Amino acid sequence: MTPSSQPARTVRDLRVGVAAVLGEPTVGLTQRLRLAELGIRAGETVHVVQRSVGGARVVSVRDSRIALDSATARQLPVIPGAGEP
Amino acid sequence: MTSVGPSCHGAAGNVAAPPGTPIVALAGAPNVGKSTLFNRLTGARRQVGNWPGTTVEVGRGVLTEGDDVAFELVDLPGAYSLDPLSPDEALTRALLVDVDPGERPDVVVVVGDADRLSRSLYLVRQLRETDQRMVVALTMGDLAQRHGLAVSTSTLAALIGVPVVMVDPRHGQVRQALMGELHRTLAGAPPVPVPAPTASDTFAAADERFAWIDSVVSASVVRTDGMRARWSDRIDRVALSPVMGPLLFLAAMWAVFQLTTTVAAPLQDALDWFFTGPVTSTAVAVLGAAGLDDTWVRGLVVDGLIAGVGMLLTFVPLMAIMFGLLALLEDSGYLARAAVVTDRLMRAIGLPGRAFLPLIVGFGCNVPAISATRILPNARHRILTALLVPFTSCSARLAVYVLVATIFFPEQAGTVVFLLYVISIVFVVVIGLALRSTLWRSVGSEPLVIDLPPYQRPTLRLTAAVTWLRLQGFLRTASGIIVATVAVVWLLQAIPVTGGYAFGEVPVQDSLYARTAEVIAPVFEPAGFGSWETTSALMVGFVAKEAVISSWAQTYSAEEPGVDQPPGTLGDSIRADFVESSGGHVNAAVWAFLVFLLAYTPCVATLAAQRREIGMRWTVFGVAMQLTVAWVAAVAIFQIGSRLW
Repeated sequence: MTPSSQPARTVRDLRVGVAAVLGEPTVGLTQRLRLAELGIRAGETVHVVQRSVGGARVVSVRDSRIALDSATARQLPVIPGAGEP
Repeated sequence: MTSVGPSCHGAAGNVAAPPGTPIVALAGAPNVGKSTLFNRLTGARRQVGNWPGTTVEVGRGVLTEGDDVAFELVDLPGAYSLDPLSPDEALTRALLVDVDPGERPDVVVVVGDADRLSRSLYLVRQLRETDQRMVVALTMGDLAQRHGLAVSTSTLAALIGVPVVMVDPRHGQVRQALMGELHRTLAGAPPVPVPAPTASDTFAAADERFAWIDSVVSASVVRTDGMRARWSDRIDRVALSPVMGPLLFLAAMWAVFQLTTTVAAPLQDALDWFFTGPVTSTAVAVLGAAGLDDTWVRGLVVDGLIAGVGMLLTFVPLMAIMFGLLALLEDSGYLARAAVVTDRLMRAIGLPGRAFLPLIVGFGCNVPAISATRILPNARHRILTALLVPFTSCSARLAVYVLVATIFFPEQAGTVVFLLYVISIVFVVVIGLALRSTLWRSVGSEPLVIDLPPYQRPTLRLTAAVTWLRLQGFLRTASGIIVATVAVVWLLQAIPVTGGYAFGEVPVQDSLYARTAEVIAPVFEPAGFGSWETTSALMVGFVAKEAVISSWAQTYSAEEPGVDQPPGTLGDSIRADFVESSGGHVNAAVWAFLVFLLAYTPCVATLAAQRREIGMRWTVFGVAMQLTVAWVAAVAIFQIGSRLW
């Protein structure tokens, strides 16, 4: 876990309730397109709603709740300082 | 027809639509209420089956006005976009885009979610880049309103250039709202296509579409309050919690099976009394009046049809309760959460979280579960999941568990059944791990990306409709096989092999049926249930698990009752059989039998589904694996258990 003094680098590091702006996902091409169709794409503001089993994260993006496994959450960079309080 | 590919116009099947009836295709992302809308529009006039030449299931039906068929409806597989990642999405694209223009549907109804509008508009935008006639039907309007979102359908329609209607297929009438727009759209000119993205790069093109979606949503959706009440988030704090989530999942599964056993039991007893009592005595009286009392016809009717088919129908309440509870979990939105909670487990055996869905469906019936593996984009994941599905304990096996548990462990029947489901999950995990470490070493894990629908209060009407549909499907699949099985079993029992008996008048122990079982029975002696009666039940159980009970019923009713054995006491006959075959270690033998029953080949319908989805080679491999695992486990349980009990 990222120490609280360090800014979050990926969605996996975000604390529950903290908003951040997504950078370019580092997943494969097909998964990137599917994530984009679900609203998870660069420039979008997300926040983690829930931490779940095995490091999974539930993120809020627009009006949706998307569950992501731990590895995928790690491949979603957030822009330091953008959106985080 | 000029197209060589699939076409909505070319595969009408048996749907009762006159030639030339306009075709309306329903398209949309998963979980937006598309199939609920289709069911609401078509009522009982629908068919669900594989699209010709594919393994993808598509619903077809008709939309009537009075007595006339106005439109033929095609319920396309769920798709977020026209960029396919699975065979289902590929078919949707093929039918909407890749076919010749003349083979496309006359109108496409894109079903969208008003509560999460931007999600639904990517497919709309891609279709708007063609001249396809289209109507957008928005569901979940009540949820959007509750979440403080006001969607202006007129603004939305003006911006996207096609009609938009709000529908509520879960609660209200949808026909009136949609019918007028369908007629107007069909009568009008095709819409002028929106210019395709200028960028050639896939993602740059997608970004252009998303920018269009953003502008459309911001102009047509008004947020009526600042804070959205998110009951779903509050529930998810428990349902998805790392600690409470798995506990809640186990509690939900336990409650489902406990309810199934306790609520179904009195209904089963009542039906059992009805078939073995009034129905049988009426049939005997009728046959007697017709002079057929002492002929083989009585055996066929009473011991074959009534004992077999009647026994199948006895378990309808059990299936109905199981299907109803699964429908409740599905409709409420909890199943998607269960997929998140179990993702880690699935990942450990090399499967993505979404493989949980076919596996959980398998607990209802393995046949649709095998078909549900098509939601997995990766072919190897599909094969692995389809090989694991038979180890999920279907409701047909539940019928046998309940009977056996009630006979041998009457005070703990619910707990015994629950433990069998736990064992089923253990089988799935252990065999999944074994296959992954041998045959599928190179398979990577699919990422978990699940769109969580908001929780909804399940509606009685929808739950009942889904339950009825699944029950119908189950009976349709099982009844033919069961009737055929019962007929074959009766025939084998009617053919004498010793003693010079006439056809149909042979004691069962002198029949071809018993002789066949006797040849196989020694295989099960190390497992403590090597009697010909139990073996013969397992033989027909290969065809369908419901037939295990009907086979027992036939076998024991055909036998001369013992001195202290009243006729028709199936439980006493089964108990006596296990006492003898186990050498006194009844509990060990019963557990070995139950585990064998759990693990060996579910039914021929499952094999047919496997052959369709993963091919004959893997199906044969699966059968060999199931029989090996079942026998080894049963022998191990009896050999260890008989030293303890």
